[in-house]
Amino acid sequence: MKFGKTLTLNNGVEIPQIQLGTWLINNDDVRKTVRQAIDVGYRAFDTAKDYGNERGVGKGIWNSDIERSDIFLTTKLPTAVKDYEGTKEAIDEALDRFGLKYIDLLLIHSPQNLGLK
Amino acid sequence: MEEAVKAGKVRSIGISNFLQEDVANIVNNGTIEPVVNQIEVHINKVPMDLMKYCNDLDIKIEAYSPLAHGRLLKDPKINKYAKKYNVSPAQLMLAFDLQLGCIVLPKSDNVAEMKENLNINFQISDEDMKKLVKLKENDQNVAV
Repeated sequence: MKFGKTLTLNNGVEIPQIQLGTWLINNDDVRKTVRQAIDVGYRAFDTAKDYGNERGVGKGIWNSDIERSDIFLTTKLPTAVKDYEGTKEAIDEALDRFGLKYIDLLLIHSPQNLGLK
Repeated sequence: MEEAVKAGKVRSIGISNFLQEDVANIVNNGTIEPVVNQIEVHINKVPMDLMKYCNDLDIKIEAYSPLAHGRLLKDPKINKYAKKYNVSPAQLMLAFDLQLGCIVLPKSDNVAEMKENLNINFQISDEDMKKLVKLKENDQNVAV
């Protein structure tokens, strides 16, 4: 039970049912917030390109002693990205900002500007 | 996005702020079904039809602003229910979303609040859930 209470997604992946939201926590502060959250038992974090704090969230994860596989990280594509190339680039850029090899869950932030590829 | 899944850069893909017609559009046009739809869900904002529609497609609901940005934590009715279960108003609001089957994303940068939000170990009765689903803001004597 590395994640506490979980639900099972339609692709078989287990998702922690309580996650820390990070909207409005700035990039400098969020690193400490994430580390503190990990210390009290959080293993899942929700951010977005448009929150401007992905880099800090990544650092918070890096600075903890937790294995990457024991963390569930969600982010969202920039709302402004609307095409195939832009999406591809945005994903690589997000991985760079986090300093991670994969994102657990990637969301389309809103249906406006929707690119279907 | 689907290519990123195949390349191992992304494990799961989902959507946010999608209404029913948007969900239908992506389900009909994509090959990988979204795993979640992240929307705003809390006591006095329960988009039941959209939640049911997603549930029928096995798309889980992620609830953002489960604490309504703190706006309802002083609401007398919510406090009354919280007292009944001997929990904080925030814990009541989170349990409500969890029992609707949501994943909850409470935001906090305060360690005490973080702990409180993570430790939801009680069950709201079915009867109270039904009442809470119908609870509306400013239902009674909320200060002007």
